[in-house]
Amino acid sequence: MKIKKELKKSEKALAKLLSSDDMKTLCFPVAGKEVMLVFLDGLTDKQAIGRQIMLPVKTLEEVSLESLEGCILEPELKRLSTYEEIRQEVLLGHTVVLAEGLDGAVSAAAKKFEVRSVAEPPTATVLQGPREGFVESIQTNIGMMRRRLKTEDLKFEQFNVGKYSSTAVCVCYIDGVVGKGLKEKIVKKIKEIDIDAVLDSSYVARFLAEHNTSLFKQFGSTEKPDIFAAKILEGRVGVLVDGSPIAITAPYVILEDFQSAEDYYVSRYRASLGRIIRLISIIISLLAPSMFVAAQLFHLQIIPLAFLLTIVNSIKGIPLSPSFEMFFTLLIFEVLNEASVRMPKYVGMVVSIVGGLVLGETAVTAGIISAPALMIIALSGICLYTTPELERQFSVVRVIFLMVAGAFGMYALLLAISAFFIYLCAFENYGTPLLAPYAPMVPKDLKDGFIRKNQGDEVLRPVTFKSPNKVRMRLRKEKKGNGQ
Amino acid sequence: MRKKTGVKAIFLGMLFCALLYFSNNFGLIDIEKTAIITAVGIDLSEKDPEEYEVTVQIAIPQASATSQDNEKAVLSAEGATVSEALHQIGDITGWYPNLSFCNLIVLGEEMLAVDANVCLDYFAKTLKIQYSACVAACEGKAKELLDAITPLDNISSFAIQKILLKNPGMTSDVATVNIKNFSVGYYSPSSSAYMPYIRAVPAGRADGQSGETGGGQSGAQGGGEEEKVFDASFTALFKDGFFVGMLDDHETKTFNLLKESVKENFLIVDDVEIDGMKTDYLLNVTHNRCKMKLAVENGAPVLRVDARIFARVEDRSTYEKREGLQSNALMPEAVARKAEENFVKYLSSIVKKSRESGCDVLELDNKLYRFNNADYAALREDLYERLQLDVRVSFTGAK
Amino acid sequence: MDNNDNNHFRIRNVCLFFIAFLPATKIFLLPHVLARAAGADMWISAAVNVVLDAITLFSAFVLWKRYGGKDYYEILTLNIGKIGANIVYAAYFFYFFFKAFTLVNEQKLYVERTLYENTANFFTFLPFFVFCAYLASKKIFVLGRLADIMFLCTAIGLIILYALAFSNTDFTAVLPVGASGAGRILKGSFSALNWFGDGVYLFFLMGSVPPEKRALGKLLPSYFAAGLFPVLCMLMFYGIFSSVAVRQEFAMTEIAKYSVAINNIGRFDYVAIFALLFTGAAAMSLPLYFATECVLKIAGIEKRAYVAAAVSAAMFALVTLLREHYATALDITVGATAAFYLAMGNVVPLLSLFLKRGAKHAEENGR
Repeated sequence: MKIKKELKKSEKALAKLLSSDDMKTLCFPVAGKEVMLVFLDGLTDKQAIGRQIMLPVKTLEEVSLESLEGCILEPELKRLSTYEEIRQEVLLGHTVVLAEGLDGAVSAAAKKFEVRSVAEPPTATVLQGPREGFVESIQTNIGMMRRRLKTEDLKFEQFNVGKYSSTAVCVCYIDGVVGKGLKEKIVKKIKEIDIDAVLDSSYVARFLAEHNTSLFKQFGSTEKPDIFAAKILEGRVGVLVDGSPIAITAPYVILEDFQSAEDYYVSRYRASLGRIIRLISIIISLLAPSMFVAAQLFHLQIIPLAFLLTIVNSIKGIPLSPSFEMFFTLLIFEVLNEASVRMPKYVGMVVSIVGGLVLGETAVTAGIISAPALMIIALSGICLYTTPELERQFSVVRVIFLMVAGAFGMYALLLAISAFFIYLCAFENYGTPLLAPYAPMVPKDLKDGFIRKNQGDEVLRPVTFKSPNKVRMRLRKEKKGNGQ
Repeated sequence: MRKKTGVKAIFLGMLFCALLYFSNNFGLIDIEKTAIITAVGIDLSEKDPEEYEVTVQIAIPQASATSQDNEKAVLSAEGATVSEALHQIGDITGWYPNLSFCNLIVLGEEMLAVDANVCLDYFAKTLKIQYSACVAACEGKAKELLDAITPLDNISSFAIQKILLKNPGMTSDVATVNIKNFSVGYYSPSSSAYMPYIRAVPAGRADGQSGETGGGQSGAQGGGEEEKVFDASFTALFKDGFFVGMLDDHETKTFNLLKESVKENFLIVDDVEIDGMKTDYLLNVTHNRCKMKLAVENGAPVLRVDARIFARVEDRSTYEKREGLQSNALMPEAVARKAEENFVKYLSSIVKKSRESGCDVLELDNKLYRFNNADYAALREDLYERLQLDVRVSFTGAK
Repeated sequence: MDNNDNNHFRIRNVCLFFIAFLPATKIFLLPHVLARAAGADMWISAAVNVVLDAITLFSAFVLWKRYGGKDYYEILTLNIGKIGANIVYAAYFFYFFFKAFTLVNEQKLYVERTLYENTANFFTFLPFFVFCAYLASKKIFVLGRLADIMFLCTAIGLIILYALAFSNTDFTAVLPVGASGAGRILKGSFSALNWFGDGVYLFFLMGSVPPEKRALGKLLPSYFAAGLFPVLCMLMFYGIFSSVAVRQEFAMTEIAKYSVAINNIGRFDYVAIFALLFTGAAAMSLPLYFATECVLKIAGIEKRAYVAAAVSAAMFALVTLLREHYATALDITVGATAAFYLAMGNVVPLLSLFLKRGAKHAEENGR
């Protein structure tokens, strides 16, 4: 509905469109005409409204849209022509200026709301390297990216998604580096999102995923702007969502969750060792409980005799069968895990200690579970946290493997692992295989695989992401005798 | 729709798995109901010599809370076949006999009078036991051997296995053999095999000396109270599954030196005369290189043995101040010569025993077949009778 | 770029496919079969089969080069018509199906007797058929990616096994070479045809492999490397067991456990065995995979998953029906039906060299 010249009608229309107690209107006379400010309490900077809007407007001798635009001391000004636009602007935290006799309005971005300050993200702590993390404000996040990539090729395309939340979702990429067609696919999918509200980046990720029923994630995620920058420099597309500190990137390969931010700031030997340890830890985490149960139930002969006697020593008198015992121990561990996340900080420590001592130590002493089972589950749990990004998926896979091994034995477990690999090999998102660069093997990309090569060898961008700009580093060779 | 079908299929599959998982597969054999058999002993039944008395030694783990060592249970049963007897043991105990951890099969002395392969073949054919389990014969009854109390371990079969498998490759005191080796020997064209001969001696008298060479009465055993240790330095020879002879400890060592590369082996060289004084020397063989080659020359088989044995003097029975100044790495010439003489003597003795017993312990029949195939048919019947020895042996210390 | 289209099977994938999958099916029952047939010269029988299959592989390569990456079904259709192509594919369906029957039975026996000695029941091997159906429902490029990972498992597993077995192997046990006689050697090769015939796989992969330079220089060495493993296995097997080799049914578990390291540390040869079972499951499923391919082509069906499930179910039914008659089935496999395997695995591929119709168009259209 177009803006009426009568201010009272505008006031009524806006009261209908935005009937909420936090919507404020402020009227004051300027050059014989009534001027009205509309804003939302809690989202606006009232000092800025006073200094940068009211004060200069009051000095006007003539009230018009041009004079309003000329005098308001705010960099982001927008001329509005409908009440719906006014509503949209006000909901974004902007202040809208209307005047008697004007069939338009001016919006000024005098926003101010409380956001978390930039700090080290709790999910990605490093000993070496930057410690900034994304926050909930998309503007701040965009600013952090601009600070890192000072190039005109860094593009942001912003969309408002969510019927009620109108959340700012920003697609971020480097023009000329991003994989062909990738950005267009993502933008198309974002535009197709029709949802009540987007409260977190994971909402967007779910809509952008190509396989909705898959257990595995299809987007990389990070809270760190340096990692985000590194990913989009490889040809990926990043998505920032207002209200969420987690940025998502696509396409996703599982290798990136084995790579830590610190790997690029320490020596490659240390980085390689870390990655291999993470890989081994995941394998132990997934297989230790299931292999232990399978060996006890079906394949005693593969256990060395001395170890077997130790196991039988430990399980004498345990009332539960090995399968039940392992499941029960795993359940206790998962309960502790959930409780420690949900508990308030003050009692979290106490619960952890009591849970560990009571449920662990006492259960073994009471003969409800055996020490080897407890040790296996504890080891499995700790190993899983070497790659926290994969924890959610692999904890489910661990239970599946345990069930299969306990039901059918080691051979079925091997089949399950094989089937798991088949699934991963067949899995692609946005044309990128999940297991790249190992399956399919892309020799050029293996330089940043589990064994990290010299950073000086990473001359080309990863082939996996099909970037049109293949070269990312040029090494200057010194010419002999030229002194260059 | 297809993906949802897939998810439903996985869900149903997991339900099925869970059913089997939590029901313990509708009755799997519990680990606590499994008898972990560590050794099997076979004797002839006293009631019926046509039957076997099979003795098993079962390891019984103690609860870790009690901090006690593992115990053993020794149980016997009789049957017309070995497997029948084993199943009877399962019946009387209620345990499921698990032979996967059985690493020792002992044949009692009485078994040496019958075809050993008849009972050992069960172990060679079944998949329940490891083919790498050691096989040995023993003085007296295998049951008594397994029941013996030894200071070396709570479970006597572990103590015996330590001797049989003592750092293989590092010693040549025992001619260790497993089921596979025995079967391969038995089914080879010469049908010859061997196995160590174990004697239990009182722990206070662990000198390994016995005037008897098998087939005779056993030593001081009986009354399970006396602690025993085990000596496996003799080797029983078999032809067509029957016991036909015995190699003594010196011959066994010589045989092992020929067969394998050893480290840390000790040889006694007796009565070496140096400067009018007779001294016994103990040599430490650090490594050896021995080759045996069977050639046919002028229609006669010639066994060429080229043995280079590197040793150092470890100890001596007398001490002379002058000698004490010498490095142990240097071996006196006389010692080396005497050691070489002994080597030739024991090797000749082995050949003689092979000839007399018919047991081709040196596998010359195989060598003839593989390397002199043209002469195989002509020579195989009287190979040992016509065999000539050409031995070149040198004992060397540091130079 | 190395990998412009992720859905293609590249020559590198084919090479790794050979190394990953071909040796894994030949170290279970085949040594026992060959020992029975050829005695000490069993390794020569295996080598003969490797050479025969290399010839088949070469035939496939020539055809692939000639037709520039066309599917084998299309090539047959161009030359002998759709009905002719369907007949050939139907024959290959039976070839792969019965080849799979032996391999699956062998795997089943191995699993039930060696891994599950006390507790084998009806359900023990059931997951294999589910796995088989799952693999067969995937597109062909998945096999290539799987090979990229699994070749390492196969190579490491075999190297560990052979390293453990080496010190206990008496290589002179196979002397004198050829003592069994040409008759027995050829009989051994004939008996082993069901386990070999691997060159045929390239016929069914060629439609997915885009033309590449120096392909033969990559294919043949990798094929021979893959062929070397089973030959070495036969050598070591006989070197370890010699006179009792005939009695050893499952070489894989038997050859490594006499090592000193096993005595000292424990049965860590199971690490190698499990690695080989891991790849062996996929390797055993390959014939059923290609049997599914045949049905899909003949019937023109697009829903791969249903056909895969049906073929796997048929195999399950056959294995279950004949579970008490395995020995008879094995005798038939190494005896009467071996001629069929020879025909389909080696003769028909050779005859394919005469297929030339439509080849010019492929050249003109540009490879």
